[in-house]
Amino acid sequence: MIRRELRHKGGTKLESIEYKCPNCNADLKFNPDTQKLDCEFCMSSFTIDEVKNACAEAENSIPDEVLEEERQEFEEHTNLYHCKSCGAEIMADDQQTALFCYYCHNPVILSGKMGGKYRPSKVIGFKLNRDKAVKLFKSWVAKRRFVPDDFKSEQQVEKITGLYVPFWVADCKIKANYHATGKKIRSWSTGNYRYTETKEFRVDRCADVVMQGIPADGETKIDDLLMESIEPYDYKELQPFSMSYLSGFFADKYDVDEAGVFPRIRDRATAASRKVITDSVTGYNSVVVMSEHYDILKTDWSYIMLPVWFMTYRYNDQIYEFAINGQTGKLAGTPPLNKKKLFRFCTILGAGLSVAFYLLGGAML
Amino acid sequence: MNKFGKFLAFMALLTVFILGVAYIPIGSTKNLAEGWDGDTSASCLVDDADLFGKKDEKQLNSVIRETADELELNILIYVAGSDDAHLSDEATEAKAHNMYDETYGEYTDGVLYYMDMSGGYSAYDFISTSGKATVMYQKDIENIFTYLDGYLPASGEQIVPEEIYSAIEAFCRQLETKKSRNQLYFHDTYHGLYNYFERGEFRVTRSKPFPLRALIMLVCTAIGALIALIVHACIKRHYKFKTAANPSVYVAREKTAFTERSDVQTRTHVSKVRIESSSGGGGSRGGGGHSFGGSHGGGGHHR
Repeated sequence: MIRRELRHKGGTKLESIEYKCPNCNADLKFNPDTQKLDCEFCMSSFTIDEVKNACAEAENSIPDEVLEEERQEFEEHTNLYHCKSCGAEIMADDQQTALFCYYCHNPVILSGKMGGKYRPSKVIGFKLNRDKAVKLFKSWVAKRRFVPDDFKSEQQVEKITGLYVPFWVADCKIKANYHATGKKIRSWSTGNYRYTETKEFRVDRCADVVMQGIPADGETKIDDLLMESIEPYDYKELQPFSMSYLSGFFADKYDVDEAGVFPRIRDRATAASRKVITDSVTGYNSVVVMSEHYDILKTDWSYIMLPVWFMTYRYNDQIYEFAINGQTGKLAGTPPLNKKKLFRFCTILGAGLSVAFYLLGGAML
Repeated sequence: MNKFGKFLAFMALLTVFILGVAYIPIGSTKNLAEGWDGDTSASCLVDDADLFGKKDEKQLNSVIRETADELELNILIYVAGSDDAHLSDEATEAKAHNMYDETYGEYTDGVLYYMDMSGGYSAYDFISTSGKATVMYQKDIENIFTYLDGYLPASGEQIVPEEIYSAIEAFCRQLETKKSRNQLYFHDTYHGLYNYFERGEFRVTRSKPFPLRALIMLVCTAIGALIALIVHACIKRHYKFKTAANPSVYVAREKTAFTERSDVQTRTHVSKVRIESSSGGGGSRGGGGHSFGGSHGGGGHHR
């Protein structure tokens, strides 16, 4: 993005241009050594042409007036609730009242209206109803014998909350450069000698990797890894946001912006790009990487809400989070471990085995 | 209760558990021991080598019976003559055990001292113990032989009856001085029997003695605890968070393109190593054995 400003300095009118990072929207600074624009925040580097191209694409978007109207409607029809206990901010439409915090289950209070900037552009509606989510949870927990008894209780199951989680979704263009040395080794025997032939290859790979729809939740309270574990969502079912999606569910307010989630996006984009490259390097017995660079040239952001059945459980001063993808039913979470129960089981097992070994093995000795 | 208190309580429980289980006998508890019938006249000298006159034999029998009465054991001293010169060590052992069983019965308390005066090379003496004598003398048999070496001629040397007479007297004295109940048990591996004292009673059973059972239980508990620990670790791992999705699903394959993709061979190297040959070893052969009836201990000694 490029912003033009007019400034007065000593009575002279000057036009200055500020460049924004196409990845994280932070200010870019010109680096005379590289003749590029560097982002100190996300460590990206761009040529001026690359930044101009990125800005040209960004200009082709929805008119500001339309956006403003949608934001006003959003402000008018949403209520924001605040949890004094854990600080969570929950959003609900004006037809329903939030009573308890989805995270810590303490009462919440109405704290005002949601700002228009929190209106997501798109949303995936819940496809998985509450009954199915509860059934999935029960079958998941049934396989875990050593969870505390009240974790399986109906009272706990009641706490499963349908929640729209705010996500920043990034489309990235990555320039990948990879150079390595590969070795192919073959051995054979002739007479009394064993021969080993080692062929060395210079392996060069350069690629333009395009990644679409890398999600990162914009909520610090919910564990990032938990949200990544219930991915992926099928973006084909993304719909323009409408207040009707909120009916019967709650939504979380984001507290991390694009710049805040960019490091996570970069890590995931880099990992995926590396996989694309390494998958193309085959047929070698060993590969030694000499150098590899993955530069994100451009990132397009969109702010969406994705459906999650969410539940927390407090046990031994620790909060255990559990989530089900509200679209696909994929579930993830850390089951709480009742250490006393496990210790009891292992003690009985150990004692039983000891006696069995004593009676069976002792007779054979 | 603090952590140390809990640890102590756990250790106490563990000890009670080990000792409690160790009370369960392993194998048949039937006591085969026949004890000693109190008949000292059964204890005697058998002189197949004709070394002694009647007077010496009578005096030695008297010494033997006094010792037998004192120790409450059957004692048979067999002086082997030239008829036994051809016997191997194993045959000597079997003959000693069988002779004892035939004379006093199986599982009775007693000792048979086989003195090899056959003139064969090399002379092989053997002490066969039975019943409680197995526990009383097993660990000292080699010491008794060493002591008797001072009286007995070496293989091939002339046999002097007076020396043998002294040796028999010395043997009886050794039986009195070396008697001990310090050995926990004697394991007759041939018959799978255990000879031991338990609460003052001598037992010959297939069931292991309590200290051995406690030791076995301790080892079994250690193995059980190790398995329980492994199971504990495996279960705990299932209660850890499973890591996140693979970000590769977000790669737009149709829009991703390689601008360079080359594999250029730069070097080839061939190494050559001589193959070392090795040969295998031969097989092994087992041998036959002699059999005997009752549970015996004992040991042999070449002079």
